[in-house]
Amino acid sequence: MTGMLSLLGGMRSSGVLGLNRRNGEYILKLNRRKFFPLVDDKVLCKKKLQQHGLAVPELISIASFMQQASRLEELLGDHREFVIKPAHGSGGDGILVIKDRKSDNFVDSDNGLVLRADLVHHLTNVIGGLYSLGGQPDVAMIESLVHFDPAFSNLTYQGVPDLRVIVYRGYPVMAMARLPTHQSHGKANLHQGAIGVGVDLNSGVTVGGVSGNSPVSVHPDTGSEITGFQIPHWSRIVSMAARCYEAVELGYLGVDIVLDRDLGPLILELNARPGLNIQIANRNGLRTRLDAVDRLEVSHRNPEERVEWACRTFGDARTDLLNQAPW
Amino acid sequence: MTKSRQWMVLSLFLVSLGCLIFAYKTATLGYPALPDEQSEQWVVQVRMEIEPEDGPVQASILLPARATGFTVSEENFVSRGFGLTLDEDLFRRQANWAIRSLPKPKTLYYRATVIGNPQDQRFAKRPGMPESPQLREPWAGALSDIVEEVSSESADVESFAAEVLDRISGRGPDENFGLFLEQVDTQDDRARLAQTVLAAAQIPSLLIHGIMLQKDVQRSALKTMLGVWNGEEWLLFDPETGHKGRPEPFMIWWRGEEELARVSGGVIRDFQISVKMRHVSSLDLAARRAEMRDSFVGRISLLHLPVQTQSVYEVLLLVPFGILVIVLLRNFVGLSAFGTFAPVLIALSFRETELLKGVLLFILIVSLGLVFRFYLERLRLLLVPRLAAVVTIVVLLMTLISLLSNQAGFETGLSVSLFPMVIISLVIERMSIVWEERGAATAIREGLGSLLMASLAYVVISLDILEYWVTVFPEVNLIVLGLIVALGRYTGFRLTELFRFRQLARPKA
Repeated sequence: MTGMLSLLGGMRSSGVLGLNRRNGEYILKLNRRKFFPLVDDKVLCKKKLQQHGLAVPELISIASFMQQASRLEELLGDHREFVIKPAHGSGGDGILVIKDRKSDNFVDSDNGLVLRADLVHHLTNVIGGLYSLGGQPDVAMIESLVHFDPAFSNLTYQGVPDLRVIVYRGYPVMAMARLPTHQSHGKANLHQGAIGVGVDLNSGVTVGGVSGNSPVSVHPDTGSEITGFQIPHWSRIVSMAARCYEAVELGYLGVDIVLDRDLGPLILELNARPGLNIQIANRNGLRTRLDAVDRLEVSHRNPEERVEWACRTFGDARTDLLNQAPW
Repeated sequence: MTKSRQWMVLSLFLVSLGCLIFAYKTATLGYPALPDEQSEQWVVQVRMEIEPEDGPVQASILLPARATGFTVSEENFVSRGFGLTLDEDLFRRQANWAIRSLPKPKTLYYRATVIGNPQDQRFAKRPGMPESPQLREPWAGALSDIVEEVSSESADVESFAAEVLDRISGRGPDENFGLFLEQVDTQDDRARLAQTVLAAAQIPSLLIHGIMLQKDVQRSALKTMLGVWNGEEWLLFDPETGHKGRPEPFMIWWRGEEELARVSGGVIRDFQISVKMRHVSSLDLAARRAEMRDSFVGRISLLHLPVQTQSVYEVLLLVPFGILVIVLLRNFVGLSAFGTFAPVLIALSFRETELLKGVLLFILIVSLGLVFRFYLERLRLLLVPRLAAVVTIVVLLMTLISLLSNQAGFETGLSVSLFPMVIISLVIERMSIVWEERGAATAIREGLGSLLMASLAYVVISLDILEYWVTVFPEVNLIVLGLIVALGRYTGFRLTELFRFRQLARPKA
């Protein structure tokens, strides 16, 4: 019991954010309900981001009726590679990545064969609402596939790695890279087994690393060191994340960004309830940083100013903790 | 009031409102706070056989009226053919039967259910001053001697009356009394003699008649007590023993010189009072007392609903307790499960099967359902028809289990039919998705989480005391609501987060 209390005290003093506080103090207060559809509906979100001049993966087509599911040719055109996503999906469920087309069948990110009938069935499941919150009928989004930047090739197993930036009241406060593994079937989702690696806000260099809830420093599939890696286009990434605040007006926001080989950083999706594992990946608590933003007397109007302030304040903050960490 | 404190005020208000109603019901209306408290009640029956003479017959009996000790909660008359009227006063009630002609003997019945009622303190009106008895010599002289002597040996009305009764019963030495005692035979005579002495001393007194409520008596004897007014309240004396106070089982029936039963136009051939004791739950008694007091809180009790409806509400009112458990497990402990409140519904179904059998049945049905679900997945059915198919399969599985267990002679199989099949089907569906998307380990872990939550919720809602409380004191749910509101503002860590973020804990500087 005393052990637990001292653990509690230690977590408090290192500024760890818990789910209850995230929900009660930040999401409920800063994320107004009426802006939720903007992030929960990925189609709507994509349009909104484009309006604000933010780069996103191209939308190929939308399937909203069951009948459309079987008319694959209309939906896909001559795209050989694409991603099917439920517009209201959460946690990466229901995302199907197709890398190639072989006559009438397809190849997924695991190099497995997907029969045409399987693909149609998946579309009907998505449209039927299998993956949507609350089970309402949904819309299947077909997006162009992102070709990830070869810089990441040692840090990922199939799939596309992405970057998650927490943006608090417009200030980027913490970031991590999410690296797909064999276990996550190429998906960059921590719940499905992807690895999270903390990223220093100032430099864009990776630090720490988490798989599930436990720390790691080596990619389990490629064997490469995952720390000390310089993420390309970092300043553009942070600035894009900060600008999302103007687009959707959510005070506590998770911005997911991918790096395309040819197109550079693209915003994949926004999340109004971003997870808390980013703290383990960075080996640092979020609360201290959120409090620092709250303590600001003059808030910066301009996204560039916010980024500049945040990178200066939160950059390189990980070192002290890293050296002290007891594991 | 600031918005940030409002929840606290609301929560405190709800909790204290619930506690207040609870306290009012237990303390004032006498609702037992714990189940299975038994109380006694008596059925007192008066049976009067009348043999008619010519012409109209009128009969009357005095009925028990308001008094300390006991009260009549229900009464009825069996007197077919007779016209019945009631004369009711504060301390006197009388039933009058009348019939124009009665060809053959007839028996009249009066039946009253009597319950204890310690609330009422009075048992008779404030009296006027008694008239001094007009006696001939030598009695007049003896009487004034007695009064003089007894008053010299007593301090107040109470000790005076006690002393008089003592001497009448021959426990005290007195020659003067001898003169009177020659004429005294019965209990009533003794009481009347005491009245005469008291009247001579200007002390108002009253005969109090009643019966002793014993277990079961076929012919209960009437007992007369002496009420003595001390200027402020009535004191009750047993003229036989001289003891002050009402003996516990003594039920006051009527007061004064009147006869209990009177008949004109006929004669009473037989008259008997019988007493039967019954054990009833204190709850019924409290409810009846509340009803008689016309208390609003008592009137809106669930106990007035038909029995089937009652049991439905009993279950409904338990749901908030199950939900409170879920809130605690989710937001305080940090467990996760399929469906927000699905575990509560599963827990409710465990009520029919008991925990262990319920858990086994749940695992059996869910695993069989999962097998079929994976098969259906291969058929590529659309979502809604597939869910419908799973529900149907679950229903069929339940029926099959019922039939098989019935063959084998188990009872549990039958109650399984009340399992919430739609909920189970949804659990199967969610579980199969998680199974495919996140692997078997996650699916089984969350499935077990659901089961654990359901079991804990079941343990709580199957507490006998809660089941009793929600029926008798539905207001306990206000307390639950208050707690839930308060928990809704808990923004501290969850227990599982202590484990999850343990590496981030920094030793305190």
